[in-house]
Amino acid sequence: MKRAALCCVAAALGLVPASAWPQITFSNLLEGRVGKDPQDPRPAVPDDRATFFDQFHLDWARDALLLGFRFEHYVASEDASLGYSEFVQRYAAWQDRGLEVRVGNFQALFGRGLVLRAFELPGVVREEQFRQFGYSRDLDGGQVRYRRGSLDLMALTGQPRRADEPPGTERRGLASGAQAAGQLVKGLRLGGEYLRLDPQDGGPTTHIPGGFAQVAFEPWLSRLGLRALTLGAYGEYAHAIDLDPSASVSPDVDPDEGRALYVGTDVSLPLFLPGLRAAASWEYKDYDNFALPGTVNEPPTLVREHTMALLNRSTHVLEPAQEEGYQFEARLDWRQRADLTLNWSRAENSDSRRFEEFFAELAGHRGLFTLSLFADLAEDGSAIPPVRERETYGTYAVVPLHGDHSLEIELARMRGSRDSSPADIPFEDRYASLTWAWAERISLGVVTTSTDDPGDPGAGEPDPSTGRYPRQDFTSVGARLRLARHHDLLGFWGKRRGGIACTAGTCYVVPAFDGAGLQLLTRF
Amino acid sequence: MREGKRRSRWRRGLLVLCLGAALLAATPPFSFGRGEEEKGKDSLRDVLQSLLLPDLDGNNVSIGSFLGEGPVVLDFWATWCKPCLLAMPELQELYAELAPRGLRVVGINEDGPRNATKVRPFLQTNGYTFPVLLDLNREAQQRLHAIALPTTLVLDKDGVVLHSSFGYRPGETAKLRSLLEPHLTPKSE
Repeated sequence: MKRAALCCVAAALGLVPASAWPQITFSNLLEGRVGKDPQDPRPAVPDDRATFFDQFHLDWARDALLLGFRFEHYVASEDASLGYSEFVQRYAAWQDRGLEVRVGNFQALFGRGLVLRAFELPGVVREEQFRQFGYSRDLDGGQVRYRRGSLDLMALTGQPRRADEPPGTERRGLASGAQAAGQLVKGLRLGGEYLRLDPQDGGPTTHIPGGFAQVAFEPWLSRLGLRALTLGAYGEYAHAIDLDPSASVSPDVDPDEGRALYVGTDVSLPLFLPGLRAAASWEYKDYDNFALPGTVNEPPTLVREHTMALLNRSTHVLEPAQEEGYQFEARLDWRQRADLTLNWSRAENSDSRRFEEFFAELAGHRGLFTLSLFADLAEDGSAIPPVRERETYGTYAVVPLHGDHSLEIELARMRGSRDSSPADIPFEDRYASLTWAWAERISLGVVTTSTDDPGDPGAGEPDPSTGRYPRQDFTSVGARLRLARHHDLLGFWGKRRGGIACTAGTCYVVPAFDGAGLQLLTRF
Repeated sequence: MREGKRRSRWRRGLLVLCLGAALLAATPPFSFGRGEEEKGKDSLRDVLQSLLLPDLDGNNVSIGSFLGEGPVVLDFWATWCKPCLLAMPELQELYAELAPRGLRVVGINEDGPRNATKVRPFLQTNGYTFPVLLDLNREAQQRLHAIALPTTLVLDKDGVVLHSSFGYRPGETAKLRSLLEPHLTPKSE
């Protein structure tokens, strides 16, 4: 059927008016590396292991017709069977006046992702099962969508892909559903959603209906004369029926049922002092048995995604099977010269495991000069082993130099302890980076970080006398060079620490690496 | 079984090659020339017209609707992306200075559903006044090949790409002025 669809598309090309110019856009991500993961469990993998990864993405558009594909190629020197060459995506779409009909691979989102979120992270290269591949959780099937103004109608069916499975892995299950959303009255947008998950292996078929509402209170506030105030709210609820009872985690719902509730509000207001602005957001989540089969959904995490290196990798990973919590964030800004960010996040998991974090950052700006100081206090009962009394302090600065040159500095220290018997094990992480940049040309940086955290993938064995783990050091240099108008070249040499990395709200595991690598990004 | 898999991979490759040949056959001689008569080739107008993203209130807005009056700067950014945050004050300054001469700046937010609620408070407190659209599921990022954050695309009023860059180093956004100048309406005396 897919082959027939592609043939139809090829034939349809002849019907496109010859006068129109086609628009061809493409990008390429090429990465070559020499080195290895020091924790690679396979015997006899050489230190000079060489890998080559290339991802080529092309779109061809002419009038309403869009055709595209993504091709990935990977080679590893130590084992030829790891290599692959795959068209990981191919699609055809017809788009006109808000209507889009698409066959092949596609991304889709219902509401805020409680029920369905099929997506990818452009530019992110995952490493799993000793292979590299692009991060994609797309659907392979068909989608019809109509959008006009606030109206959004969508129906789809497709087979999901897991993000941690290399290309070529057979897709399992079928997701089919629809969403309808529109503005009922000015300021009020309502939506309904339904998804059906068929595991196609004899398991139960799951049904997930849901709905959401978005309210912008400005029309009513302006009637009250409060024009400077903005207030918004979003709420979504979904209920899963006929789940596999053997996968049930939450004690709060029936074993074959699941539920998810997300509420978010935001408010912005000018304060009475001249030049001072304030804004805040508050979000609440309650998820029970909502790690849906086929990993087709991704409910909001409600934990701050940090820009600072040590905090970004030490985040809480959502457990949609059972999690309740909230997040509050407030920002104050004075004339774009100084700002204060405060964040409080809390998540409760089953077995009384709890994550809680307080974060504060104070920043000052003058032209291109920026200086920020931050502090973070956290406890993470869901980490393995659990983390107690974690404290992180640091600073970040951008210092403009003569001409187009600048320096960027980040320093941070994290201290805490890991839950252990008979006594907790203390640890300390240190991080320092220094980057020199020349606008539109080049940047060169050095990063050094060290840890004696027992939870680190390369922690080793503890000292029998002190109980502390050996300190590991990771130092690397990196460079980024802009080559003409369409290319960026990135270089890396040294040791990279393994662990969790978060990009655009999605967290995944990155293995440690010791070696050198080059990455070329191209966009036409 | 492995032989069968290999054969099917070859067949798939052959099919895609045939499709590629059909595409090329339907494409007029291809080049990245920048002559006026060849402008249609480099224009992203149709792509941008078909890209509909919600604004902060949930209304679908076509990115193409910003074309037509003057140059357009598309900035792909996120609240967790440090270089993106450094670039934004420069972008706001550029917008405040050059909007009266036709410049359009559009922020394409890549925070996704996880941080969508924080976007408006962030913009309001920082005083950023250019329009921001939410690319909740990375539709625009994928379609416009923005494979790193931040990505900056500068387009002329017809949607022709004048400049594209990945990443940000302090001072870069301000340097776009010289690129934009020929595409802006002249300064009034």
